[in-house]
Amino acid sequence: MIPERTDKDTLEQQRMRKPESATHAPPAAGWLKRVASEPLVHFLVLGAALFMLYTGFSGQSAVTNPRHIVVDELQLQRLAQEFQRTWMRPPTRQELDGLVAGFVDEEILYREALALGLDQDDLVIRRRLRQKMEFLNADLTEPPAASDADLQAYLDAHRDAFREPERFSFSQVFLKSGDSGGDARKRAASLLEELQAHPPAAADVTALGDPTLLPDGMQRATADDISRAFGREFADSLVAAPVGEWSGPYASGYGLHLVYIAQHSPASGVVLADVRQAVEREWSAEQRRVANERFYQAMRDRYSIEILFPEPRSGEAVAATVR
Amino acid sequence: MKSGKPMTRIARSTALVLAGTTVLLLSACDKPASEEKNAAHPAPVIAPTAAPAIPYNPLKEAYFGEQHLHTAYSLDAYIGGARLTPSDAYRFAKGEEVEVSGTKVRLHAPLDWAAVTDHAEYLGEMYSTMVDGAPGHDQDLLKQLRGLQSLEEREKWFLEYVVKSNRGTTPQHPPFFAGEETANGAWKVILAAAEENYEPGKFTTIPAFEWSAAPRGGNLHRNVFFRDMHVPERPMSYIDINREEGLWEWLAGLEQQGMKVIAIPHNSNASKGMMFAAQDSSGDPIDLDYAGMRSRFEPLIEMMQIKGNSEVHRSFWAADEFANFENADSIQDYSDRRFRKENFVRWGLVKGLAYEQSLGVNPYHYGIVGGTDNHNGTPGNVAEDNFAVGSHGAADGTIERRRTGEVGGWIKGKDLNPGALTGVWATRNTREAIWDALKARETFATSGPRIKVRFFGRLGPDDASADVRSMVERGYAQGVPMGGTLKGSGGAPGFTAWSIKEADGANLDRIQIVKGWVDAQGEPQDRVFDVVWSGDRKPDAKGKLPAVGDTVDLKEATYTNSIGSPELTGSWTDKDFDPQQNALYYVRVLLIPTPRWSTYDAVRANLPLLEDVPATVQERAWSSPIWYTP
Repeated sequence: MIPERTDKDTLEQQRMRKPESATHAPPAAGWLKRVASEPLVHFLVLGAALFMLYTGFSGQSAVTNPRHIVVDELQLQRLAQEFQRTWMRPPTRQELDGLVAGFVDEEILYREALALGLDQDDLVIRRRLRQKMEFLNADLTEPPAASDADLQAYLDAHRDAFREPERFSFSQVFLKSGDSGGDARKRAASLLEELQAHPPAAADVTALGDPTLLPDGMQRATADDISRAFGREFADSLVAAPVGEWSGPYASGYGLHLVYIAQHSPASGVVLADVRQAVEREWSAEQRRVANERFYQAMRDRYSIEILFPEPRSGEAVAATVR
Repeated sequence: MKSGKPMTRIARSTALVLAGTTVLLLSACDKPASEEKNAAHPAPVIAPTAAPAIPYNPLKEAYFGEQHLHTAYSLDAYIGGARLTPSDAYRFAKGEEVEVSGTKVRLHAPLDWAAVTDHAEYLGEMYSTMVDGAPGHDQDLLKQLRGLQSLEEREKWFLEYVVKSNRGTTPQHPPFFAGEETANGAWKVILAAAEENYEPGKFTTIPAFEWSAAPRGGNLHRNVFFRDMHVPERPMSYIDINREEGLWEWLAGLEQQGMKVIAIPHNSNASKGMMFAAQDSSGDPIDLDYAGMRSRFEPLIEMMQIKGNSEVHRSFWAADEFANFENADSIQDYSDRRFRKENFVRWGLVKGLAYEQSLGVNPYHYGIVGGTDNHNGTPGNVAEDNFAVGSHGAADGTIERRRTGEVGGWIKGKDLNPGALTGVWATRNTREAIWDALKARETFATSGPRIKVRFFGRLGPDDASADVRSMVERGYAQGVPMGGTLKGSGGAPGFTAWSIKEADGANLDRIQIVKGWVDAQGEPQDRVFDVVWSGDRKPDAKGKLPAVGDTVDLKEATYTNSIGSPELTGSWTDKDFDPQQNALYYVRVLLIPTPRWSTYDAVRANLPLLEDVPATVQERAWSSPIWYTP
């Protein structure tokens, strides 16, 4: 039931969210489309729009007398509505007067604080403003859907991350360590000789060694699979174990193990179809990273930055000397 | 805000489901790797054939998973600061690293399966809150919520706009609810996450939600789980259906539409006597219909999670020397959720036998599962040494908060625990096989470590030697596994229990069997028997086994496996067996003492140990019961 409906929903959603993504633009408007899809452009346009909204509706323009406060009808409405949202009823006249008085005091203190520069170097204010900027940017950088070519290129560039892992098929014979580990080692050594001289048939392996319900082997298991069944130490020791013969003993959290590795396939490459989902996930994450970085870079480009690094240059020394 | 993503994910997931199917078909015909090292001579042991696409074992494997987890789509989780989505939660379950409140966290090992169970209550509201462009997204109240920075501000907002509209017996949607469509939208996001992250043979997701009824503050919550993607258009909330009987009726309706569904209750410890009450919701004594519906739709109960272990409480089970384990006493400080014997699972399980005798059906025919109930999008994050991000976002996300704070309205931070896991014995790791094992009650819970437990019962003597290696075949052939019922005559019930520790975890102390029955007055009775234990300890004259010892170094938060045993197998026959009396038997496995999470916290922060909580725990596992019916 989900797949049928979601495509449509999503498209609607996208249209709603990005009316500016000029899908119907004529080819001649290609440059405009490119410009229009630049996050920085979005950002500046949106910022300008917000500014206009603010100055248009906030009840006092930014250029009016800083010592003159007007509480107009619009502002009164906002105060009343805010009250209503909290208390689920409109304020009485008396309550409204209280709200206005509170607003006026707040506005005065706000302006005085700005005049004194109290917003400068305030960590909370700086972080809040930074966060608002990041939110604005995040909304504008939803990555487009990946094409096959995008994904193939990403896979080619990150082969190692998508390799088919190393796999082992092996049998094992278990020996309990008990209180006297030395005894288990001795038993392991003689059993190993026996196994090497007379390799047993598959069905007989289970009967060898000490009774246990540990698996008597694993097929095409990754190092993680083996680690979950026998522990990290044992999984690590199989990497160097010989193939096609009994060897050991190898220690685990359970005891000692003699091992026959029938197959050890190294890590190998994959084709896109096998790992498409993972590639797509990583590709999208990468697009977001790149878009963010582009955004920051574009912002940085608008500034000239000078860093006056004192000598000596170690962080520790700087922390100790500066200030 | 960063809320556009879930929606577009759905479109992608549709493609991915198709792609996933292709991958599955392709991987069935394995291509030989070029540099494979194969045995030179004909392999004496294993023929290195291509593995089947989905490994299958008729004797079953233990698959560890999470069946209780909230993400940002649960309003209370969002309030606490959770921002991980259902898909993020599944990625975490698969072993990927995620970030919770600025801290990176990863499981020690991936889970085999998981179910995201966001609250059905306010699901639509959360969709409006989080998804850009969703109906109601631009309401001032939700804008306000998204802008709130501190936990205190958000909790205040939650109290004002949500809790107050939900206090009565007829709960309401809060004022910012934008219509049923929004709940459907959120449900789609949750289902898409389940589709997208399902990897048959490797990782199973189960479509699910939580129905969170709490009449008079008593916890009657149920999680609801579907066997496949044939699910209703939207989940039912406490606002739609306010008592459990209504929920079962709704589930019965879904069954008629061909859906397969079960419900799992939890936190009986906080149920104010209502989880195993003698009356139904209208105050009448529970009857055959009630018992029938309950046992039909509720095969399991979640016995342990972050808000306590509901097996037993030390105050009411003084004879059980291991009853003092994550009792979560401070739950009683909130909403008047006082503990009483009738809130605990062992009492409920045994009381069920009395109903079976009087009504003919056991309403509490429960197998055992465990979960976390984490409200931060981190399923199965149960290791004591990996509790750095806590369970409820900002409420217990720091050492300081866990030591001195609380999870608002519920419990003190220090009384939390990292929660429990569920093990299921299933033939393979697919949604159907895992769900079938849950439904069949072939389950066990652990307090965190991935301890495996096998438990078989039969009537009459074992027909072979006690060799552990053929125990599983014999167990299935001669009797029933955990979750099964022994019926009729044949002699006293005999049991075989086996357990093995987690590969890189702490050793086992002992295996116990708990027997429950009702006395002539219909009162639950129980007794705990030590079946097999590590080392050469001898029970004293009163039958009490000496403690296993303690290797924990409290200054370093370490232990050693110099005591205990990695694997234990034991047999036990009920010598007091009365063939006329209903009975149940379940296994409890205890580990050697290891540091409690609060000890890891203290050592890491160089703070003193907390004084009123234990510094060490004996982690444990519990099997589902095996029942005996005359």
